[in-house]
Amino acid sequence: MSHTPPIFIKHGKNSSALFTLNNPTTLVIFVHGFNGSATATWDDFPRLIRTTNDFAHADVIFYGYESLKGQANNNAIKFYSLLKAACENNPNKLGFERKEIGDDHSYKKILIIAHSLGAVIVRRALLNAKSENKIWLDKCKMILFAPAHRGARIPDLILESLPKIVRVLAGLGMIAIPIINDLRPNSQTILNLIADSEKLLEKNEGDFTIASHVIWANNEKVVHNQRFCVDPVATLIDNKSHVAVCKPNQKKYADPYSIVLKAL
Amino acid sequence: MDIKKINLEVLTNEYRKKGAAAKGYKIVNMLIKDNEEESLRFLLRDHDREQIKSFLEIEERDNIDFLIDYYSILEIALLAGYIHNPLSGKIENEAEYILNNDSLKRYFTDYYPILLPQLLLKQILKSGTKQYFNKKELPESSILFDRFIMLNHFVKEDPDIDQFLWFLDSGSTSGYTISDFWEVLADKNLIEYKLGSDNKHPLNSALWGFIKYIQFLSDFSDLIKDCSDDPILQSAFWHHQSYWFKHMKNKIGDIINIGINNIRQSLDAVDTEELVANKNSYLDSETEVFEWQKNIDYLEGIEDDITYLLDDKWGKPLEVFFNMNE
Repeated sequence: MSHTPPIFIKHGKNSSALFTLNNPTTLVIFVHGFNGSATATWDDFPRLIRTTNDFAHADVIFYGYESLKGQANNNAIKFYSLLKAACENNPNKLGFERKEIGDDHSYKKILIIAHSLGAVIVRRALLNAKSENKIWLDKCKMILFAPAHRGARIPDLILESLPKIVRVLAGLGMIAIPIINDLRPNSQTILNLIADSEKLLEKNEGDFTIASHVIWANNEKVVHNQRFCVDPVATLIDNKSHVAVCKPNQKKYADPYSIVLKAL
Repeated sequence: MDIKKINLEVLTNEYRKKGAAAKGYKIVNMLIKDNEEESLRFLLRDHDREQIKSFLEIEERDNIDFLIDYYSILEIALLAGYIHNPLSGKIENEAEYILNNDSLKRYFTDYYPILLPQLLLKQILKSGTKQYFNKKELPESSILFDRFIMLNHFVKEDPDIDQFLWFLDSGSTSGYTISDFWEVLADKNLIEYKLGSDNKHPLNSALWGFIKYIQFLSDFSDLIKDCSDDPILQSAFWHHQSYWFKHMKNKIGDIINIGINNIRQSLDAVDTEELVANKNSYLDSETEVFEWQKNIDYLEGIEDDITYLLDDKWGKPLEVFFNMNE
């Protein structure tokens, strides 16, 4: 074991961190999707990180946010705050004091792993960082599982992602979920995300908008499996649904863990 | 590296040294040190005998609840093999100072009985410097404990859940009570009218709290199910929520008896055209309404989760373990 138990951090909602007890050279941030939860979305990831030494030199944050309330871009601003706090300050300030970490310490690599709606939030947060010329942007890499950055099929999104009670109440119109509109393929949120990324790519300033790995589920019903700008060709995973594709399982499904491990 | 020592350090930082628990300790310590035992006894009275009305009293009792909860969490961590058994002398001394105080002991033993702090106190008083108990450590238990603290954080730190449970526990906010909430849940026109205008309305918050709490109950029942290899730890997790699952059983049962049934009433009165025209509903066509209606048996699953958790049998293994420590 090379990490602390989960420590709750003040950013986002129910976000927690596993801090390495070694020198942290990499920061790994997991960002869940629509109605995911900070850790449950990632199934065996927390267990594997805690019980192996594979992430021995990485601090790991499971970032949580209120996906049923508020808009996608508001959540992107909140996530951007976390990125600034983590990349521009001593890691100890996130919530666990390690005496051996000096004031001038900074992470060499920032690996962001996002699922579904999380991809929209992460991409917008990185675009925000670009507009403020953050130098740490060059250290960021994205791994995207079933990304919703080209939009989603709303009824299927609700059916697969929402808890039973919300499906019923949202159908009845008892509760309004603004983020649903942000995920329609022709929403301003999605169209602007594509346009802003394309503009930067045309100017050769958009390397950070290119995901280092994209993973699609073969049984995908929720998001539109379409390439985003100049992303690499996606890895297609057989027999996995939108929700299951990012969940490693110790015995049966190792792909998500192997992909992240390779990128460390 | 001593991971159990780090686990204890993190738990103590998180649940004792900051926030409400730290304030709770300050209040108790101050009243004990100032020989204000009578004030402490009055503050920690049984609310059935004399109501708690002042905001300050509600807040102070809440802070003390968080302090007691820290000791409950330590006991569960001991049972999970997550921290060293026995605790360090420093932590034992403080636990004894707090938990063995007459007013506090009466509070968590007689008025609002919770087994976990009682068990910790009993073990500390009995053991001297020896281990409190011998229990086989399962590697899985530590991981389950991680999940438990995640869920605990989710339910304890959410203002919407807090609002809903406050209503459920007979509290009122801005004149609204649980009856208003149930009434709203039975009438979708009423809910749209009441919730449409002000996002911070207590009934709106309680609605989100209701939804999130049902999600919590589902996740918590999964945790209990996944813990079947360690019945004592399983029972300890359950006891941590025993105020709701045992003492407030009927109120939690109301989530089914009133809450879910009220939603059913709304479902029975569905008008397809009206739903398609409703901007709040995500359903945009008759076909979508038809598909959505086919899945209405979702509500049965919610009832199953709640019924599962309200079964007193989950409490038994820890009660037997407690009595073995006599």
